[in-house]
Amino acid sequence: MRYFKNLKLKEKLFACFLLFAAMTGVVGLFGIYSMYTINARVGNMVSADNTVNFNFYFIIMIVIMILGIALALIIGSMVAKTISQPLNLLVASAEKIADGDLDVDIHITSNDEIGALERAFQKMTDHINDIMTSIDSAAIQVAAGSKQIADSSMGLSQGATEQASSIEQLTASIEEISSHTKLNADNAVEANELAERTKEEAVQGNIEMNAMLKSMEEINESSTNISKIIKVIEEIAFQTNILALNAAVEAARARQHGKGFAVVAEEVRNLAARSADAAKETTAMIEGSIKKVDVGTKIATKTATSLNKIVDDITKVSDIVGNIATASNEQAIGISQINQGIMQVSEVVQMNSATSEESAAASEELSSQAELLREQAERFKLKKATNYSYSSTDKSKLELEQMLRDLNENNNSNRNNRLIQPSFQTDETINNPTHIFLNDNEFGKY
Amino acid sequence: MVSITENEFKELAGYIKSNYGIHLNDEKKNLVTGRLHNVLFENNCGNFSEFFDLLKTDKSGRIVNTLVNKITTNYTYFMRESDHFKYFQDKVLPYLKNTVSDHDLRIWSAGCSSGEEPYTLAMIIDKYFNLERATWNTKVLATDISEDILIKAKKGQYSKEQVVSLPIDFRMNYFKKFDSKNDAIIERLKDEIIFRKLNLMNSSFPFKKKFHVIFCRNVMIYFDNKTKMELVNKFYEYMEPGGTLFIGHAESLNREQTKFEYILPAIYRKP
Repeated sequence: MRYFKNLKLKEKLFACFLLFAAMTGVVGLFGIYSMYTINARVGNMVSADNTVNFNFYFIIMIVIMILGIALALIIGSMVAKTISQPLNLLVASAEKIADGDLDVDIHITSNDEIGALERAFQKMTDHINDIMTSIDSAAIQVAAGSKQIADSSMGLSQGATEQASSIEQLTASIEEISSHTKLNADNAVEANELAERTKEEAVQGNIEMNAMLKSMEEINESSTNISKIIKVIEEIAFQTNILALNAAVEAARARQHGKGFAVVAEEVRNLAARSADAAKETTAMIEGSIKKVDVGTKIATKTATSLNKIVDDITKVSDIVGNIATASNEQAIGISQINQGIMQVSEVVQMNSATSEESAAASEELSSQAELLREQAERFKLKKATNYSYSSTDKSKLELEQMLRDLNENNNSNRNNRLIQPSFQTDETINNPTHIFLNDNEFGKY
Repeated sequence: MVSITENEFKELAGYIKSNYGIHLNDEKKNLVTGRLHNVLFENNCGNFSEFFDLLKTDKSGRIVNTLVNKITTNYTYFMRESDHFKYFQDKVLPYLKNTVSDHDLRIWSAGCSSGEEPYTLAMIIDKYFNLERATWNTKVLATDISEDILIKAKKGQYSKEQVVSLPIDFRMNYFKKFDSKNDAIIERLKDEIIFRKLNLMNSSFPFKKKFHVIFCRNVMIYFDNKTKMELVNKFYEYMEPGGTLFIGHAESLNREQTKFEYILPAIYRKP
């Protein structure tokens, strides 16, 4: 029984018919045998005529039996063939489908159960084809779409990163400027203080210069007074000289007794002469110093004027430096505000950068998964769409394929054209590049 | 801005990938130069080769830290991919409450960024256990590789706009006013989180016990597939049977490459 089970359908059927033929043969042989024995028993009583008749029937019977067996075998093998052939075809198709090739044609050969199986098989492959085609195209679209998303988020991420680094640089620059401005403000304040101090000192210098002028005037006055006193001394010297002369004359008159007196008078005269000389020298010196005091006074007056001017200028400088200090301070405040703003922008940009980087990475991951899906779907070899959804003739199939091919070529040529021509130019304008049609083609009821 | 040559980029990207797992393809050149030019400037490096030399010779770890801080992307917000929190509250916590006999819940937020995720988890746990809080140890482990972001996370200060996406009772119960613009997490909740620095690229993790739940969302999107699968396998190794792994919604695990069972989008379980 197990051996029978393992046989192929064709072999089983063949075996059945063989068995049937064998049984027919056995039955026939049994018939012949019984006929023969009957004939033998009866044969003695019947004439030779009967024997001839018997032989004739015997041969006919044998022939019919052989024919019957042969017919049984032929029909058997034919039936086996009609069953196993379509089944084999179906098995081959099923094998193909199992290998992922859904491009199988199933012909319905009969209206029996095998035909029903074929129909079911056809329906199944059509549906699977349908579904797989949808999955395939969806997978392609998803892969393309997610690739696009991945690309654009990558671009976004790059942009955001650049933005972030630019802002970072900007922040650094602004911080530098800010520190410079602060330094400026500090320096201006210091300069202002210095200018104030210089102004005070200049004012003090002026006051002292005036005091000096006054002192010089006093020197002048004292010099004049000294001059007067010297004149008195000169007069005294002159009179002493005369007195000495008189004394000398008197001493001469007294002759011997006046000798000593004459020496004294001579000494007094000498002293008077020296006094006069000293007085003269002093006068000259006093005159010189009066002149020098005059020059000094002039210089001091000039210096005082200069000092006055310095005071005026330094006051102005102090004012200007004060203004600079105020402006610098305001600048510093402004820049710190800018800095704060930039910091906020920077934070946002940093955040954006991280966000876009994350979405770039995530979409890349998605894209690779979509690609995987596409590859999986691609493993199925699909029947060309429309082949099965309606019964197309070979002609229309060919036409369709041609159409698709044309479309493809057109697309390719368009793509090539796009590479050379600006994108707004259509085929029409390529031949006539200066004239661009901007008209609509359709104007409703007009 | 300092530009980076092909070789310099390759070298730096290779270094970053082998040490920190972050995969930088050629399109990320801008990112690298944009984020690092200031670091170069601060360290007086005229070009990226000088910086790379400095990086390799710096023993203090300061340069490496700066590099990691700059190159990692820290983007998160409260209630991000909120389906996960709902699943965590409705399915995972009841399951754990019934099955964890020693009352020691081990939940790990791997790549915690500025702390929104672990704080949210702590809030959900606190609310869920409510009166039984005292009998459970539910401290959440939160790790990240970037020191800067961990400091920020530990501070737990968030602007009012950031906090607004949380449910009102969370905002009422777990935040206090910090200043006019910011709120701060209350100390009690901060104590429920253990913030640590950890590089997920380490060949093994220094943990004594296995986890019941691991959140590692939108971290592996920066890794390449090999690194990702190695990490997922490590997660599997450090996970209790029945434990749940949450990954980002943009991510998925290849069923042929992992022993994790798929439950819902971006949610997996160790059988």
